[in-house]
Amino acid sequence: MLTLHGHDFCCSRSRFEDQDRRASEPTAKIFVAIRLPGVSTLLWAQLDTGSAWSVLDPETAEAAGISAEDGIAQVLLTRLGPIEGRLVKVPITLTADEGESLDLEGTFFIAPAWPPGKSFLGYSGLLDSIRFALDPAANHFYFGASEGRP
Amino acid sequence: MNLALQSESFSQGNGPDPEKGAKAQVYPFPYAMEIRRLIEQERIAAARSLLKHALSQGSPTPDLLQWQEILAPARVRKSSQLDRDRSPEFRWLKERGAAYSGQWVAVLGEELLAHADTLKELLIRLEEIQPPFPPLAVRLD
Repeated sequence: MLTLHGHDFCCSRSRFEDQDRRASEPTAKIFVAIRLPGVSTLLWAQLDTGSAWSVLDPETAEAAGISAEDGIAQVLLTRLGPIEGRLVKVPITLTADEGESLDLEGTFFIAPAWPPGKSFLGYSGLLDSIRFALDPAANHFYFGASEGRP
Repeated sequence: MNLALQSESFSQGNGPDPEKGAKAQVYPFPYAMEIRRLIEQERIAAARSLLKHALSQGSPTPDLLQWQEILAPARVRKSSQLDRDRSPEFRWLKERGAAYSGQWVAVLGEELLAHADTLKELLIRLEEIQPPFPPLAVRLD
């Protein structure tokens, strides 16, 4: 077991899906399962360290009861062009198949014009607050709280 | 930028106005506006630095306090809620998902429980079914 500053590196593992049959792009994307309060299913979110912010698609935000009045209005430059939306703190659970899941309250961008079903876990205010690693050979996503950070 | 960061306020115009003299109006530095501009440019670290500086000046405005919450690291805690290996669901999506293009599907194991045009409709159908374990909901393009 690798440790970091005397603590275990992470405590959780889940399987991820890396074939996006939905996308027109040929490159594989990494999807992990998340849960939101008030939503009875697991949902897919694409892991995207290159994305400045996490994005919650508008249908999922509505199902989770997140108000359009919450957060701060902001225009973000996206691959779909400039989009008006709001930056909002959203509680999610990164679900583990083994170990322990993590409850996070991270910052998400929510925009009415964003395509439904396309949620992302981005870097700022979410992935930069946890520790994670991928095992592409086994499709395993390892994650945990950043314990023992000096 | 460095000059702007070092000043708590700025006056309109490029220098002293001889007609207005000492009565020139002084405005507070528009920190929130500048943070918004940095965020739009995806310069998150610079926005966080500017916010830290702005807060160190004391008497934060409500919009700065909102930015403080939005730009803060995620709060993280361990949860006892465990899921299970979703390989069967992933397999179903690969093998049979194409038939449901443009719809939300709810899959549990290798079984399709429901499909609908919107997530809201899908969740209503699942309420009627009451699955024994949370299914995976995905919108297929």
